[in-house]
Amino acid sequence: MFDFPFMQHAFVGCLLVSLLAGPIGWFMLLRRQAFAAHALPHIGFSGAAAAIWLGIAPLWGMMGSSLIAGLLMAQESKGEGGTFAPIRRESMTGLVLAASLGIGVWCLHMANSASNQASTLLFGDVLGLSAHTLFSLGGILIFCISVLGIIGRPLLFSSIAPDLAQARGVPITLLSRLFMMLAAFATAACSEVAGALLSFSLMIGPASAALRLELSPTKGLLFSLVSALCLSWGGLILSWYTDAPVAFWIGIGAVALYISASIIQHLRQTRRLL
Amino acid sequence: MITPCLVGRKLLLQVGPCTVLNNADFDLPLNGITILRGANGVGKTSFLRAILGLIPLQTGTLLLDHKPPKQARHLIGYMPQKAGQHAPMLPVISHVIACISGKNWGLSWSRAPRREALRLLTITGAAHLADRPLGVLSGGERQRVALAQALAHQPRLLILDEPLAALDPQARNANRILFSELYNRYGIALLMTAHSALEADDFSCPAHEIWLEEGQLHV
Repeated sequence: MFDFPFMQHAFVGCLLVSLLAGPIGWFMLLRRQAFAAHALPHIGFSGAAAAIWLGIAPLWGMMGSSLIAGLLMAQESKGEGGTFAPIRRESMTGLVLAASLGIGVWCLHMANSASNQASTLLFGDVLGLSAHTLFSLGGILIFCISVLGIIGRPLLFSSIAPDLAQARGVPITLLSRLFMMLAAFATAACSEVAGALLSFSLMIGPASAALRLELSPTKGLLFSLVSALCLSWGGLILSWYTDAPVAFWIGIGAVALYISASIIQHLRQTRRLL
Repeated sequence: MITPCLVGRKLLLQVGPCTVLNNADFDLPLNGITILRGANGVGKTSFLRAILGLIPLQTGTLLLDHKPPKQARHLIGYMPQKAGQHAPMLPVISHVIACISGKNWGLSWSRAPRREALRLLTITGAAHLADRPLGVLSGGERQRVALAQALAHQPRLLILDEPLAALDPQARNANRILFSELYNRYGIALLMTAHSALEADDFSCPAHEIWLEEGQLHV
């Protein structure tokens, strides 16, 4: 399995994407932005379709459209602690998603290459990762992890106590925009591995299990990161032996991980009561 | 103990259609516990948020210890009306640590914030809850955690928005004792809104009432 360059590329790609998906996904769930995590890859799909039409690399189209959408969502999240902010953000997410899917279909129609390219964008092509794409993913990873490292503590503060953070002078609107920018880049990167349809499973699955286990932020972030890596590498290995798509195994694995976390948590609580 | 002093001159504060302060002047020494009273919708929370620099004043000058609100933030701890609504699955200690180190950028591996968080939870009588998820706590327990969060940067003034609302008599009484202790032992002045039958005499420290009414603050 490891003798083939395309499999080596696939494992490296999964590593890069998992290092990004785990922590970003954890913050997205903490900030109750699961819908955004679902919507951003689909929005990225439209950007990729536009990129195909314009003759540029789909990854850049994905990043561009996800970035614009992320900033629009952050704009509607202004005043995080306010009563209307979550509703406005969800409405904006839905509207941007609807508009971008329409634009995506139109771009594929104009590019006249709907079937082949679209299925690659929707379901991912981890076995077709080139060295150039890996370098791009590596650059995205370094940039996103560096920014997350810088804003991590204020971001956590503004996520769990927005009123208090605002009262202490933490720039919560700026943090919200920066985070949505990171989320946009992360979803675009994940889509390279799992496709637009299932990339959010790599972000949400591990994070949801970490939160279900009621882990502290440091442990939760590490758990999400390691779990995302296990899911993507596990998916790759299982795909090799079963011939089923990688994205299928990642999706199923994410659900299995959450169910396992729920069972563990249930057993823990039962033991506490005894 | 140095008493923080809130001074307002020719203040105009409007939030939507509500005029909270209209050409208001006051000198308010915040000695001990100050209970802010006023009818529903008169703008008590907006007034508190203006002190915190979260709502801009239309005209006039508001100073806390000779500093405008945004420059006086380090002096103030804040407990909002609906505290503990976010991230209920995280342990209590993580909520307090986030408030202690949340203003700093970059990574840190120091254990000092954890020790400080435990100290604050001990002060508010919530140390035994440190490892429990916030979401399973009762209203009174959440108030104690929120109070520990508000104390995170060692403020001189605590602003508490309806800290006794929706608490049973036992929890309300426990909080009253805790508030008095915060002033008596640590010298932290408190400014709080209250609707319930709370009297200044209920506290074992200096306490007085002020009224927000018809655009004026009656001290």
